[in-house]
Amino acid sequence: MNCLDFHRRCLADPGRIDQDLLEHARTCGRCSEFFHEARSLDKKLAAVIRCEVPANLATNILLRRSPREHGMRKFSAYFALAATLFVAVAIGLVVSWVHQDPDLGALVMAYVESAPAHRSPAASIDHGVMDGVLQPLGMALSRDFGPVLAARPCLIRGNDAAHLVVPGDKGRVDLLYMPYEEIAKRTEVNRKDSRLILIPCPKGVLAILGREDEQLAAIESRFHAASVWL
Amino acid sequence: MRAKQAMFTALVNAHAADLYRYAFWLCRDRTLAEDLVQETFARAWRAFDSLRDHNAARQWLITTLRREHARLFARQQPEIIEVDLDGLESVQPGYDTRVEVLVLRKALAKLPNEYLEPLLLQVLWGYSCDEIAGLLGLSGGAVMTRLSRARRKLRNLLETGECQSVFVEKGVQLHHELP
Repeated sequence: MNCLDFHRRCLADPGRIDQDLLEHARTCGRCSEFFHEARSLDKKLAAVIRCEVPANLATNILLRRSPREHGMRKFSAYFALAATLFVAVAIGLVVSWVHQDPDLGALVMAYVESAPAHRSPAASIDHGVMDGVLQPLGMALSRDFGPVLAARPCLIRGNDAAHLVVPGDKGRVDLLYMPYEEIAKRTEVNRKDSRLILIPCPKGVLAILGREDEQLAAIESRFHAASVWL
Repeated sequence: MRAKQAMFTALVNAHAADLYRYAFWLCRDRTLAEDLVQETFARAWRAFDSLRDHNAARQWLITTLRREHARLFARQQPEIIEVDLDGLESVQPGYDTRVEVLVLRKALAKLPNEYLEPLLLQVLWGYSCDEIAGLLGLSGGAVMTRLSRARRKLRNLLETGECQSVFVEKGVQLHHELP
């Protein structure tokens, strides 16, 4: 070991003395002095680095980590989770209400079940009758729409609407044209044994209600193809 | 739960003080240092089940504190209040050369962190060069070089420059002549 190596090792870790270092220090007076100075400096360094610590440091840490606080934190975490879920559900409900308008769907179903047209119309009506119901509401259906079993004016949420009954593949299909209602997009609502489609129209909403296995989309297409907006 | 709490208390009592000192010299701010230690132990509590081994726990705490310190400085440059180094008391008894201590503190505060960190690890916990290398993600040789340079810089700062001027102002000479 030469003096340069000795200095380097001494400066890197004066606390670790190995045989090589001791041997060299014995034979080199300057390095021996350097070694003692390095040890002396390190002792002072240790004293300086070991500065005063806040008296209540450990207590503060332990208080912050006490089981009670941990419990509170756990509770807070659960509370935060519950609040997040609540907000998510609320947003979901609002979005669902905006997009599906379940009130309108329920209203349509309730109306159809209690409407006079519900009582089994058998034969097709004259299209002139249908025109008489629809035209005051700002629309008409061409003859291409096909047979209509019943057409009556009605009130939905206190506003004028039209109730049509058409034959479907599986049974009767009810159509409610509600010019004063609004929905954001086409929505399907499935209920026990029945299916309802709410369709946004240029003026208002069309509701088509039939059995769950009915081809309501076909009637919807016919409606769009035959509708004339006045 | 009680056993866990008791073990955690032992861990805090064993390491909080030196972790604080380590944090203090890293950021040179008492409040920040305390916050860093608090946050480190908060994380330790959450990960306590994996910290059964005492030695591993110490390394884990140091690594976590370093990471928290780096994160803090990456996120924002905190407003650091200049520490009154003169008022910083040493707790080691039997060492009363106050001016010399003052000069050493100032010299330490001037050391770049890359030199200071391995020095702190060695002086506070007695880690070897290889252990420091493992903690800092450096090679053993690099740690040796940094430690040598750190001590050399300290000696130079003590001999010359601003730190020397403190001696002159106070009219005190260093006890030993540094080569």
